[in-house]
Amino acid sequence: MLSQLIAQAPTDIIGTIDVPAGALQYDTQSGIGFGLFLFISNLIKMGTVIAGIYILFNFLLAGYAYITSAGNTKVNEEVKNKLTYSVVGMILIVSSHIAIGLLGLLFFGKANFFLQPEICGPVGTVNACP
Amino acid sequence: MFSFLPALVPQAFAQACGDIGADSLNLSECLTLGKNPQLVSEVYPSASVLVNLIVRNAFIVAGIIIFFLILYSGYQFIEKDAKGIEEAKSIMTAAIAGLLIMFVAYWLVRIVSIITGVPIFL
Repeated sequence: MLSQLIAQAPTDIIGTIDVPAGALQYDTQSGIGFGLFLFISNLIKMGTVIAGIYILFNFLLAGYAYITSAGNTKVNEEVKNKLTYSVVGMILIVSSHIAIGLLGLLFFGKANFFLQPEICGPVGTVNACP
Repeated sequence: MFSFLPALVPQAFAQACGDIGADSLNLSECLTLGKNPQLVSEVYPSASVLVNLIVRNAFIVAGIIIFFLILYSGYQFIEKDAKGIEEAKSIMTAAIAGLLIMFVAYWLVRIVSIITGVPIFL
């Protein structure tokens, strides 16, 4: 009985498990049959857009504070800080892609080592590393 | 061993089972589901059917729970000032992180299957 079980493929015992609906969409869209990286890049895109909107409102609020400050030096200082932090944050967000590309190039000789990761398995399997 | 079966199974299907006294008996080909009888083995050919059912509906249940959690965190936001904001924040981050983990779960198992070379989903 036990030897029978071992001889059978996993499909014979459990059957095939479907890809969940959302994951299937990403899998087909990604073109490589594995949608996790597409999903993560969508998250990053959305995060960047949200950060941009946040920075926009930071600028707006800073300008508003500047208008209503009437020459108050303390408020001016706050406005200056807010603006510099916003600009530095924006530069960091945009340059993070360059930074990780540089790190990949420096350590692994490939700029897309982290940006386009390859997951591979042991030799002899379908997903073995080339 | 299954001498009680003929009493449970309708007469028409008791014959499809084969001999009651036989060495092996596949219960899924004896038992039926519902009022217009369908064999269990037709509705559930393998265990994965049940797994697929659970996975598909788990997302909907989770979505409804997250909706109510966000609603609740909104109430916390209104009711208590600074403390409520903290509480609402933690509830919302937990809810969204939970949904994220659920969505990514399939791919995590796929990654394990790729790295180890074991064909989990075949």
